[in-house]
Amino acid sequence: MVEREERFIKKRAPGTLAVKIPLRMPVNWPTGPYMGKFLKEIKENAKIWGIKCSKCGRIVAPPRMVCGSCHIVQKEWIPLGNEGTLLYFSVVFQKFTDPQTGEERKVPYAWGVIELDGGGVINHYLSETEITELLQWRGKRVRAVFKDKKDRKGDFWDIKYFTLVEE
Amino acid sequence: MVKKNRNVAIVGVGQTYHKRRRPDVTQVELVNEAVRAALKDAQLDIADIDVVVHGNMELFEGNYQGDMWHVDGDGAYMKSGIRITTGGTTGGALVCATDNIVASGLYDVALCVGFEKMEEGEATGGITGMADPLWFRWMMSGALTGATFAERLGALTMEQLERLELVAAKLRVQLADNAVRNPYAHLRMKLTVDDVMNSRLLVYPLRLFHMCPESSGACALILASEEKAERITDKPVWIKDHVTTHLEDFVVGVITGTESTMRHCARKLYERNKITNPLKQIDTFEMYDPNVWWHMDWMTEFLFLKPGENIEMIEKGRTALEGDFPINASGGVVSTNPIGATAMLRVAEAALQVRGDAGEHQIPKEVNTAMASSFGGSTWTILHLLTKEKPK
Amino acid sequence: MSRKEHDKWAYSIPGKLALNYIYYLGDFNTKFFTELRDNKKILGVKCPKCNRVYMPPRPVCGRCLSKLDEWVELSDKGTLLSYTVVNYSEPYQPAAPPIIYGIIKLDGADTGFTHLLGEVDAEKLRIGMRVQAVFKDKREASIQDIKYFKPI
Repeated sequence: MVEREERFIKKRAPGTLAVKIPLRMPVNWPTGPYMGKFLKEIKENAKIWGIKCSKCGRIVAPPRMVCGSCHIVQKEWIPLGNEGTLLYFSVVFQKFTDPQTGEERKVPYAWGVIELDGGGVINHYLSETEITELLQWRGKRVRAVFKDKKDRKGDFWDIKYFTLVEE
Repeated sequence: MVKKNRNVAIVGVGQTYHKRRRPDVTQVELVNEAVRAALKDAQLDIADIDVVVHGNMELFEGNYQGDMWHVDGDGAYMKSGIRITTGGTTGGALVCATDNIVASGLYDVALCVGFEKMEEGEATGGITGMADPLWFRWMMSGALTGATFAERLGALTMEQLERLELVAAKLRVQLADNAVRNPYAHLRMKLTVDDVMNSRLLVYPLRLFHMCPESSGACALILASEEKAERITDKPVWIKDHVTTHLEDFVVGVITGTESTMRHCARKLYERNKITNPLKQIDTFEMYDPNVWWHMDWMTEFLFLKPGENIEMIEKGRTALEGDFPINASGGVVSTNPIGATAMLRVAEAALQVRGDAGEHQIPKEVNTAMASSFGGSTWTILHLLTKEKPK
Repeated sequence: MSRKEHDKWAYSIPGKLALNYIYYLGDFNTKFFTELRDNKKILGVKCPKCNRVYMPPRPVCGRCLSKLDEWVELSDKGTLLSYTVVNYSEPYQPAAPPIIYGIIKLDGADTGFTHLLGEVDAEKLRIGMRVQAVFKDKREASIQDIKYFKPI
């Protein structure tokens, strides 16, 4: 057990103890066939695909097996292309522990919501983190930048980020 | 037409003094504080309770099935019980479940308790664990978000955004003023508009003082059937109705494409309860507002306002304590957020307003009908409707 | 998707769930653990209403909801109520297998509590055996300041 002489223990509960227990639980995350196919297409072919609901026409990327509003199993795969329009962005400044690693996530980082030419919307990192720049990016065309094929592993990081399409 | 088997009322309200940390107690003692307070308020003994419903978001403390450990503290020894954990809506879902249990006729007097000891875990890292580990978890930053804030509030130019930031700051100051009058609230600060506007950025455009704190605290409510409630107290607060609405989580594009769960939930509640003019027929609203941007956005969604009417209402002070439609007289979630208890605190505070027992933060006009909302996860919503008059 | 297609596309990505926790003992529990560490004393707490002595001690009596503060010094000797032997290996175990867990009712307490048994072969254990706590030399205010219980 660890006797923590922190300010607040001294103030609120002098003489008491606290114990640190880090959770480090190894997990094997299954992709399932839908996410698996989506990630493999990115890894092998640098192609982003979405899945389309045959009832409501909604296109989702990454794909889901069932459309939440229609409750039907999705079957139609649509190529979305690697370019689109930036709809929204988010720049994160606050430090916090990344539950994927147990370490602090590096800030600032920016991610965006991009409507790809094929019709689906996807989110991923952006190459820019300056707010003033990103405010100009809204509504403009962005494209996905992939890792070299030999470095791609079939996970989220195979796409490095989206960046502004040069005029 | 759906109807309860019998009416259910809140007969006891208890909460702890919410703080950033409680190193002087363990989770058991924290839960026990709220349970004692509720029993004292209802002037009941633990033996009078038939069933205990317990809940929190366990990822924040990292110990699972906490209800087993907390039997010592919440009086569930040899009683029926359920555990509910539904993310941010946990407190509200606890009240829904307890209301359903008592309305069913299976139990007469029920205790529900929600709590969180946030300092034992990590809030932002924990909430991030809600997202899909293969994709969005790499981007999500807990409850801190900023995308679509300005757009949804109609601010498309820099001038509009500046006006919005000013209104957000004014709203925050108003809520802080309310919290100062609430002895149980966590953040009770004398804030100015400049303090809010100059606070540091968390996630653009969300600033530190726009956002709720991480609080440690507990809340307990005692619900009783119609017959028992009228014997236990002369000020029962009737739970007239509650509605829950869910959405698929984190499907990007759904944010913009479909109707919000808030609007959908409100519509259902109003239809079922013949409310055509919420601003007139409801006296006060305890909204679950994780940050002031969402507070402004959801005013439109819950109350069916016209575009821009929400900003006008705040600028004119209509939602302040003395206004004609006070929202969050308790200070709201931006002042106090012990996550497992927070949604229950909205119901508790609404109940106190109906009873006239909210002390310094009691709204000056008479409260016959109060509404309380819960929010969680990726926009799940619960609405509770409380009345002074017994529903027929 | 057919079974064949499913197997063609589905795979697993290794990862983890990693967060840092810190638990506060509070005023009540700190007393129990510091007595273990500083004085090799095991304390229980008595509920005057139910007339029960709890070990491990707890701040509230689960049966009658009374707040408890009547501390009782318990003996380091007790009776073995039950035991089990763990033969398999897993991370986060307190010792290497074979691990013997026992439920011990200390003299003076009305409840049993779980701890390790040591200095004994599993076949020699009997329910009802008398056991005694063996303390570590270097103690850290942990329940593992008691190394194990041995038969006497």
